Amino acid sequence: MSSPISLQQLHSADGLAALGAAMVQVAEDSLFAYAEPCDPERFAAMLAERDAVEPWLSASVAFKGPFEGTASVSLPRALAADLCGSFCGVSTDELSEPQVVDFAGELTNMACGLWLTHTHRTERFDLTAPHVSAITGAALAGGAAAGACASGIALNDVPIQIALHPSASEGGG
Amino acid sequence: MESVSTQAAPDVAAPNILIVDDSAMMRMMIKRVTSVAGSPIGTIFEAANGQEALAILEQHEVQFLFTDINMPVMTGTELLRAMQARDDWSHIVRIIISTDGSESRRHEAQDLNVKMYVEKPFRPEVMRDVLSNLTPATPQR
Repeated sequence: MSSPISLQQLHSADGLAALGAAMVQVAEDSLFAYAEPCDPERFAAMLAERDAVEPWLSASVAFKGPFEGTASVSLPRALAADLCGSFCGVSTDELSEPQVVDFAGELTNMACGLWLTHTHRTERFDLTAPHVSAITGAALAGGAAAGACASGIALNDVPIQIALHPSASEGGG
Repeated sequence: MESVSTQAAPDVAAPNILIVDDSAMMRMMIKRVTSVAGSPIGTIFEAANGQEALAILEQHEVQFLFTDINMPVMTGTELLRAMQARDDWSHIVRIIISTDGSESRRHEAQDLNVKMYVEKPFRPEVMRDVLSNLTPATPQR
């Protein structure tokens, strides 16, 4: 088995860009949505235009293999509901909160799995069940969690954030 | 262990499908695209993990199994291994639908009698192609 890849490699711009590319593909293939990476200035401007107390969902999936860590996707709850409706072919009004939460987790699972498959096809990773928590846009505007690297994506012109976090052991926590 | 009923011959022209995924929304999505794929479909069963899937297989005749890999309680790989031990389930056509498309998983799937491997995310038309390319087998008794 090869040596674990360093945290620096995990957090490289290439790694985050590849996760972003996976997110774009998930959006286009499964959600019939348009997504594109956006630079920090545009992302900050898009965030600033939204209500600071708007409910968001932050979903994370931990992965373990030749290297390990956690990938997360944070998006406005309203966008998650819209995308969930497109994904399942049902009206947004018909969706329950647990269904929207479930979808946010599966969205993150697909993006993380696709990223790892595209960039490390010959290696095996185990993914945990997604963990989804409720946050606000203000929490996101405060910056990525300590030790994480993050970038923004415009999905149907709505900001979402993707991030990579070190594992607890790598992060020293 | 209870056996599958042999009283009525299954209608393989309208196969029953078992969808195994821990995401209820993914199951709903697969169910939807399967239903509108244009192929005749019998009953669609759902399970959130391998253990629930085994319970359904014990009680119902199933021709196609769509399963995820990474699931709590019992993974898709563990489910497929358990199915390998049952001759009366050998006719069930097994399809993996997973975000994990690594070569390692694909090789493992070949050893577990998996007919097709679909990577998430997939376009809805992929499921139509999957169903049109699969032929239900007659159960061995």
